[in-house]
Amino acid sequence: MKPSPLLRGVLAGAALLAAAGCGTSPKSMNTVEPAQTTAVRQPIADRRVVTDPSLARNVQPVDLIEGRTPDGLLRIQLTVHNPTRSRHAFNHRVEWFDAQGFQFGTPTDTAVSAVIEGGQTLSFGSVAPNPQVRDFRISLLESTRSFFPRLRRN
Amino acid sequence: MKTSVILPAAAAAALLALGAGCTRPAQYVDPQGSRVMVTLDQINIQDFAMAAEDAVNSLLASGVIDRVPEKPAILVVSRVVNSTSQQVDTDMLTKKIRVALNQSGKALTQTTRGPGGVVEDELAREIQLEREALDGLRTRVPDFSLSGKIIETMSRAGSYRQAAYTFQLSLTDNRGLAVWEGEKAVVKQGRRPSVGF
Repeated sequence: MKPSPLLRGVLAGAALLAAAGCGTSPKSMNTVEPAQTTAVRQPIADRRVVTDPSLARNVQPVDLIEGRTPDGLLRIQLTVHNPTRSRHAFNHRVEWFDAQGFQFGTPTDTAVSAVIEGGQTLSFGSVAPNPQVRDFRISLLESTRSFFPRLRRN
Repeated sequence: MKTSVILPAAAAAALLALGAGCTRPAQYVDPQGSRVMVTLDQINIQDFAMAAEDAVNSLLASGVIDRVPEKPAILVVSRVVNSTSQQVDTDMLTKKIRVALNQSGKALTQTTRGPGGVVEDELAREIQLEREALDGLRTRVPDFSLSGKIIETMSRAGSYRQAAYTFQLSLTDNRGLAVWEGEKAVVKQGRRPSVGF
């Protein structure tokens, strides 16, 4: 059965719109770095809980390192890699916990928006808000941009 | 023949589903999460939070706060110039930094001293002066002053818009030297506001 002319028209229109405005061709990033890096990294073992396999495919944790600031505060850095050819928007957030496991909240503890291009390796980190902080948890979440309300301009 | 019946029904169902999904009643959201509103012509709460987070991380990582003769360091908040077209309370930025530094135990903010003699807490200033008169002791000179500027840059390509908000901060010691400086740009692009980022 052949599709109706109306349906064909709608499909063609949608394809045109996608190609003209919203479509982005996949691009992948090339990188160059020293073959022998001089930095002494302190990788730490991580435990991963994956509930979004799609995000885990597009934003793959490569390594997690920790260190200390000159004042002795714990600092961490997570490196992620996007092995696909498409850019991917996601959010990350670091939560800190004290020696008894209680969360240490600060007003600067916030979800941060990030975009990783295809093939890109991206690092982001944080510094513990207090010397008593012992543990941390990094949450990664697919972009939550869900709908576009029409707001009246003042 | 069947297609002509199924197609309008499917379209109607899709429209209904879309309508139901977009009509959202008011709800509370986590202000530090990623489901807050994103607008192009305004500095949103998460923009301040991201700028403050970046500044605090950079400031703590630099270690300058600990390089004072007597710990914790004493900080005063100077002027943060708002060079945007909007009316914003710059405390949205500075207060977050102050709280984070206070919680770190690295710095205390003096609220009885401010730019141009305008103090944050008048009563505390009176008490401080009274104590100084009674004890004959002078309050410690602040180690650092925090100042900054918020700059807005708008661009447009057709109906596509870009808003860039640059948060510049300087920490100046009591010799007048900027011992730490930070800059964070928050850039947003799009045609319309969104919920979530």
